[in-house]
Amino acid sequence: MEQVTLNTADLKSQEYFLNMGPQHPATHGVLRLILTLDGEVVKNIEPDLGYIHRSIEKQCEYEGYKQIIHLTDRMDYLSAHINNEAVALAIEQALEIEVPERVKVIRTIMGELTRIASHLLWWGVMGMDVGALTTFMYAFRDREMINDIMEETCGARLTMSYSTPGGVMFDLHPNFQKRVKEFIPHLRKVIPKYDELLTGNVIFQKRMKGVGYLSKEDAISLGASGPVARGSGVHSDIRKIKPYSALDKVDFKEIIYTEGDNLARYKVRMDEMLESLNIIEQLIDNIPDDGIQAKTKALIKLPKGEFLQRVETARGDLGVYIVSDGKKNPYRVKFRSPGFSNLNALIEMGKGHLIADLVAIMSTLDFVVPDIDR
Amino acid sequence: MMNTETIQNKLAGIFPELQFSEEASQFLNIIVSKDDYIKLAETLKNEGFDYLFSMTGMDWGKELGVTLHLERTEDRFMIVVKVMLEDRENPELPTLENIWKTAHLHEREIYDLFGINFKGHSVMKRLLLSEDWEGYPMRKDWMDPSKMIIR
Amino acid sequence: MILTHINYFADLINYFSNTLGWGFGGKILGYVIIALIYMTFFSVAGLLLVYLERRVAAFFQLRLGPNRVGPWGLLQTIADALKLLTKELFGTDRKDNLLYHSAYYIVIIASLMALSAIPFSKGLVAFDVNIGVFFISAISSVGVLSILLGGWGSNNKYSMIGGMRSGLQMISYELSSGLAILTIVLMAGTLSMTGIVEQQRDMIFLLKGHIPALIAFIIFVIAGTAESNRTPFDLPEGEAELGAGYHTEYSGMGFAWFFLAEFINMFIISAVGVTLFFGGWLAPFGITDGLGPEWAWGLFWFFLKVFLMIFLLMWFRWTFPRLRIDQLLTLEWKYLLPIGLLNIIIMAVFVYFGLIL
Repeated sequence: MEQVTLNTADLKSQEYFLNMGPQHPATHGVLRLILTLDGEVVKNIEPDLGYIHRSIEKQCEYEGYKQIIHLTDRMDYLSAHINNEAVALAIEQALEIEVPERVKVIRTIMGELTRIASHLLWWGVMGMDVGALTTFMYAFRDREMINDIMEETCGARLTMSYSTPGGVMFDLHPNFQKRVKEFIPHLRKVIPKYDELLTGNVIFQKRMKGVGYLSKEDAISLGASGPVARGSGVHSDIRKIKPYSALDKVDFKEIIYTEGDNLARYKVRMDEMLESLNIIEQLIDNIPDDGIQAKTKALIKLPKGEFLQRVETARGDLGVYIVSDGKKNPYRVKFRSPGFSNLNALIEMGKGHLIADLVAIMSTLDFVVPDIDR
Repeated sequence: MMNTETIQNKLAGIFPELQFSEEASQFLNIIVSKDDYIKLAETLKNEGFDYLFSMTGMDWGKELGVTLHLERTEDRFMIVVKVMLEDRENPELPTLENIWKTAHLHEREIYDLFGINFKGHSVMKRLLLSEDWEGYPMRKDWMDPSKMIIR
Repeated sequence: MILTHINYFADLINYFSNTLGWGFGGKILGYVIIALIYMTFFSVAGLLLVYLERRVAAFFQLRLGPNRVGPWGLLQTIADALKLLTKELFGTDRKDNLLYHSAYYIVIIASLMALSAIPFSKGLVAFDVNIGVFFISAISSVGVLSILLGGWGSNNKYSMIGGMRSGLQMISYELSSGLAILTIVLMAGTLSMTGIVEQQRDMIFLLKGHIPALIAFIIFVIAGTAESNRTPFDLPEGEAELGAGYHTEYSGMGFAWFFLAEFINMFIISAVGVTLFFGGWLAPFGITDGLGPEWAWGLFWFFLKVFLMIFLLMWFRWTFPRLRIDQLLTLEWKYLLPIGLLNIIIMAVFVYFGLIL
């Protein structure tokens, strides 16, 4: 009888493909990841995008500048106001319009409120992704308060299209200051409770600590921005680097953690909410009173040239790059969306982790799929 | 600290054929030929431009091209690199994937929407559109049969 | 020790077969009636537990929960069950029909059989076998088979991962819960559920066995939560990772059976825990002894204790995040199992030297 020798190198488990998405609870929308798995270990990730691609960039080439703003709401719908602001700022920069101080302050407050709302939603969903279902309800309850504030002033809760070139659409609602002042102490009170519920939990710590490590060099090279980059120790807050609107008048910290793991990214966002409250608190009491709209022409035509405006959305570094040939519509508009570049980081980080960890990593990257697809 | 002049002088020394312009833009624009493209990218990376902010596909009517926004994270100094391709039928560029990892997805998007083929890219497949899509919709000469966007 | 066995179910069969003189036919009739009682209990308890879970979840999440259908929303889950009943059953095209469809039968059969050995009150146990504890552990590990079959038979990768995870998890945690049960059996000296309850007349085992019993209880609760696939151990379902895990491809009643069985399993785990550690249907400190029929008071105390235990499990579910598969196995094989083994030795020493109260 022939001797059978077993070579351990030949013992290879079979790799298989798993379609994660486009309909999957963890992808928070219609992101599709084609995973190559060995057992439960992720070997390769290939994203397949486009399930909510609306070719916003192409549409922009056929719309006037004022219409473009309304398209940007639909990109990163969780920081809709900041997107609006980015386009408005780009147009103002091109036309060299000086907007009233009141507009700057209003935009900053609204932007920070949007950031808090976005981070709250992220926190709720983050809990869900690691299996703690209660966080979702708590976060939505608080987020609702911001939505109500937005509704009163902008007339819309999510896609507010509030900024226009040269100003804002409406003046603040008389209740605005009162409501915001009620909200600030409320959130200050509940965030420590949320920390007790989720952050301090042993299981949660074990799930987050050391998982999804992203080094500083990789974070830069992968084009990561926002809380993802700041969790890896990169100074990437556009609010500090190139302050826009009233952000140069306020005093705030740039939240940076150097661990580069899930927990660091988590903590960045948690701290950012409190920091945003600080910014709002500094501005809310002295909103100047010099009008809500600078003079602009009915039909906006940008001069020939290229204009880039960067803002810090809740997800990171949003760039609006407008190429104009002097006509009433832009020649080319590019939205450099933070989610698209952060997706690179997922491909890099997810390899070698278990599916459960991949979900947690994806959650700390905080994707909004329309922002990736545009 | 880096500024426009130092980088311009430095690059002009290495690449004599580069064109510089600051017209109608906030940043220094460097127009590079297809042949010098990859070498320029490597040089810039070594100069500390470690953050590829964005990669924009462009259709200038006659030429196709790519616009890079590069930034130094050290002092947040930004420059713009433009490369133009005369060949509209079969445009090709070397990939930047190995220099800035973020180019991975950006190049796939440009391939998808503008049809520029990036040589050496690991996964040169359509990203946003389906595999059987014909044409490159972000090009200016693309016709929209459904009349959804171009009315 | 000779126990006077009162068993109302045995009396019922006896009544039909002997008193009425129907012989074997009477016996069969008796069994059918008992089976119907248990099946009714299965569905009613299942639906009530679903309702309870939703209310408890709402309580933890600052919501109201179901409160529209019927008084306090009590009929909500019945409406849901009716909806599921009328739904079309559809699965994947290439499923393994036999395995796919047998899965949910096995899960119900396993839960019902385990249920039959639990003493609800004095004399209210359908299958009063002298190895009751052993029987329940054995039967509840049959339940894992259904999840494996469902996961494999669905021909869906998510289901398969869920099924495999569940196999790993339930087989691992079966050991710990078995050891915890054995610790109590060492003290009781019997495997009969009724016998274990009767022995706690003077003091419940949790107090009687003090330190080792407390450790056994903690291990039992952790392992029990894992065995009933509930958060923080709901990896087979893992809805954020796997969609719905092993029952992704089930619809209508097929899904509903899995869903109900999950809640019944929770009930069984709690009932076993209550029987082993809290004296089952016995009144605490005998406060209601002699106040009326013992079986009625027994039912009351049993369900009250079980409710508190279920509330504890629900509390876990709505506050804890989920473990990862490797952490789950680490917890079992590196911590719970050695502690359980050590604990059983401690208990043996305590029992030998008469150190228990």
